[in-house]
Amino acid sequence: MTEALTFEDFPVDEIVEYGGVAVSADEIIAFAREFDPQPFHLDHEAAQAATGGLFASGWHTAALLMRMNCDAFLMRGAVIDESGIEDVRWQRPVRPGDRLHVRRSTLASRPRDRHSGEVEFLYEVVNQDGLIAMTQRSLVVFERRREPGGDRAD
Amino acid sequence: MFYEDFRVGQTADLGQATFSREAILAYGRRFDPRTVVRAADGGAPLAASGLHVAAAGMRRLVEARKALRAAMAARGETLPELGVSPGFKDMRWRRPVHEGDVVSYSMETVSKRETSKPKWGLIGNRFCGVNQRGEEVLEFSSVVLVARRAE
Repeated sequence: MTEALTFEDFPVDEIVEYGGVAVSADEIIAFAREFDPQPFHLDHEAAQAATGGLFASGWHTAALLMRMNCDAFLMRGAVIDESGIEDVRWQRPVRPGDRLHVRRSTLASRPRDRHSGEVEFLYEVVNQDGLIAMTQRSLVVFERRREPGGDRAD
Repeated sequence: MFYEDFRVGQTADLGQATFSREAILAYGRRFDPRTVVRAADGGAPLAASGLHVAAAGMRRLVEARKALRAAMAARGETLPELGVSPGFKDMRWRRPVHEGDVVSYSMETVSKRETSKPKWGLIGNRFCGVNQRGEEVLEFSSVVLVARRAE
C-alpha cells in the first residue's frame, strides 16, 4: 500500500487539478428523485419553463466533488478530523452532458501540535468550458509525518 | 409560503429520515467510498457520509414544502414560484449518524432581506438535524430565494 498523505503533503498556495466526471440527465434525475425532487431537477419541460432547462441539484454537485476528492486524495489521507464544510456556493447550473473536474487550492496550512495540522482547502468545480459551477471551502486535520527514527512509538 | 409569510425566530419541523445500512452503503458507493472501506474494516460501526445526512434533510424540506403548497392549492391560493439557493455555510457534523439512527430535521428562519429584484426576497435559515436520542448531528446555515407576493 502506498504511504498515507500527511499534513506536509499539502503546502500552502499549491494548486492542483484532478477528476473528470460526465453528468448525464439520467443521473441528475435519479439523484433528485432521492434527495431533491424539485421540478427543475426532475423534468425537462418543467425545467425549461422555469430555468432554461434541467439542472443538477446542488447537493448532487457537492456529492460529485466529494467523490472526486476521495478518489484523488482523501482515501489516502491520514485524516484525523473533517467535521464540516465552511461554505459552499452554487454559482452556475450543472446541465446534462457537462463534464466536471476539480481545481484545489491550499489556502492555509497550520500545525496544531506535534502530531497534527489543519489544512484549509478551496475547491472549485469547473465545467468543460472552464467555468466555475460550484466552490467549497473546507478544513481537514491531517496527521503530521513521523520523523524517521523519531520518538513516536505508536 | 411567500417571503412575507416567513417570520424571524419561527421554526418549522421538516420530518424524519431513517438511515438504513443499505441507504448508507448505497450513498457511500456512489459518492463517499470511505464509508464503504470503513464498513469493510469491521472496526467502527457503519456511519453515514456527512453530506448524505444533509441531502436526506433536503429531501425532508422539499416534502414539507410540497405539503404546504398542496394545502395552499386546496384553498385556491396562488402558489409562489420556487426559488433556488445560492449555497450554505458553517456545516457541522456534530456526531456520526449510524445504521438505524432516525434523524429529525428542522429549519429556523433567522433573517429576511429584500433583494434588488422586486420578485424575490432572501430568507436566511438555520438547518438542524437531531437523532433519536435528542443529540444534534447536523447543523448549517443557508439562504434561499423566496418569491414575494405581487402587490
